[in-house]
Amino acid sequence: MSALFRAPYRTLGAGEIATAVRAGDISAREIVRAALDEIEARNGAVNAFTSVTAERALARADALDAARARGEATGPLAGVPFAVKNLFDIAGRPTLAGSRINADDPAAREDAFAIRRLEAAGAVLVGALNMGEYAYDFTGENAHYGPSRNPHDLTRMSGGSSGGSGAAVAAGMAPLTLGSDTNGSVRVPSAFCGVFGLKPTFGRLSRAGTFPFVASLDHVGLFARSAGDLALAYDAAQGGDADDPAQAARPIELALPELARGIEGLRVAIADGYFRRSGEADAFAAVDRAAAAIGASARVELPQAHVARAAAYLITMAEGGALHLDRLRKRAADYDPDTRERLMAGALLPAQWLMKAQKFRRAYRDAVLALLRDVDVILAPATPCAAPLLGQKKFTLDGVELNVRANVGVFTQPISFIGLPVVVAPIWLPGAKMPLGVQIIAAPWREDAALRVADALETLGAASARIAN
Amino acid sequence: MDENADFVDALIAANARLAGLEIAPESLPVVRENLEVAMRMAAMLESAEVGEREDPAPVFRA
Repeated sequence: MSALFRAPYRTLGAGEIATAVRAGDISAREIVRAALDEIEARNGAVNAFTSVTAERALARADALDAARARGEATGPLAGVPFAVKNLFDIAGRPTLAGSRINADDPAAREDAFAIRRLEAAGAVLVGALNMGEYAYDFTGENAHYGPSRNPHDLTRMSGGSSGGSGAAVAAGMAPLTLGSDTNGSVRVPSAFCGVFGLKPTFGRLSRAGTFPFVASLDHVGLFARSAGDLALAYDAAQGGDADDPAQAARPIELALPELARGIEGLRVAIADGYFRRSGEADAFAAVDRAAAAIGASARVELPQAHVARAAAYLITMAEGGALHLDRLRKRAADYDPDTRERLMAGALLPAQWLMKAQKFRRAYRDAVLALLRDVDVILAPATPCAAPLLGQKKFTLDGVELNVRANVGVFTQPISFIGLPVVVAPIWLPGAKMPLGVQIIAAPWREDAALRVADALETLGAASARIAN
Repeated sequence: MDENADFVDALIAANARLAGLEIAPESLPVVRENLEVAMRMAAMLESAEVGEREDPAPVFRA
């Protein structure tokens, strides 16, 4: 590390790195070299990375340093190492999507849109990250590549399906990662690994160049160790892209400048009813801690949230099963059995269930949007419990024994079902050994409101992303 | 095997044939378990009133 910039790499946030690189306090090559060393030192235990793009990263860092030497602008993310869930296309490599099957695919011809956006802002791709097979997962376990482990306790789940994305940030291997979220796959690993995560509004960020799971629910999302870094990267990732038909025609709406406004004028409420049942007491205590920190006490109830979760569950099964049907016919033996049998069941569902679920989606959206006319932000638990043990198949919630893999997303599914933007803020309860997460839910296109609340919680000391030792 | 399991197994056999999907005997219990969860979810969805003229949202706008 440069003499002018002595902080250990693993403690540095994206904003700090970019500021230092732009100022010439440290070179992009020094930062990227430190990132690669950190990955080398820690990935054996955490298993967050499935590949490291060292040669590409160092070449990119040298190009940034040369640009700076010529007096050219290097961008808001200058020299910031980042990594992506391995369902994002990386030019020259097959896009695994957590599977063994896709390893036989031809290499991607170009990078995913989101990678191109971050690199255009000066960030440096350092690798691809472990994930649950084909994103049908809340655990971070993977039969082919091994589980990504929770850096705060290596015997516990990182969460899924973007498990490597959460673990890499919590372990200090990367200050910034990309993931995807269909039913909770950014928010669950954010909560389990204790980092900040953002699932933007459905249609906000282009998904072009990512391997799909459930086209009508898939979102691209981000992980970082502060709300400010999340806003910085989110701002850079925005931009129109004709290659994602679900992307909405929205202008770039910067969130980072909004953080300075704090939470003044925002009406914050706690989700009641469905979101206060079927969870361990600590999950609700985390929400109460966040609410108390910002003086929120009003309660709202999302109507028919249990039906929304059921509808999201059925859409996921049906669309996922249909997407994989041909592969299930030809290569069933090459799937992780936990994924294969869920996809097979999904391929057998009657069409009328899917259609009713999609119709209910509109009706539920209208009901929730009516509620959001009186409230700007809603707080809810991200998961019903802290990270379970790796290999744990069942847990008990409200006296009912449930399958872990299918039920960790009980609080995330009713929200992504209607595409609302959500930031997860990591909460450490007093004396807790593992973190929990609180969903900060806003109206469509109001990522700024959710990020302002997350930033306020961090400033007040109620939320924090600890780097695992 | 109870009556419901018979019914679900018959459904799996018929729909798998229609879909051109071979389900190995060792996969059958877990496929059945997943379908039973889906049936519970569908029953929950059935309880919701959705008008005939409600537009479904396959490409969804938030």
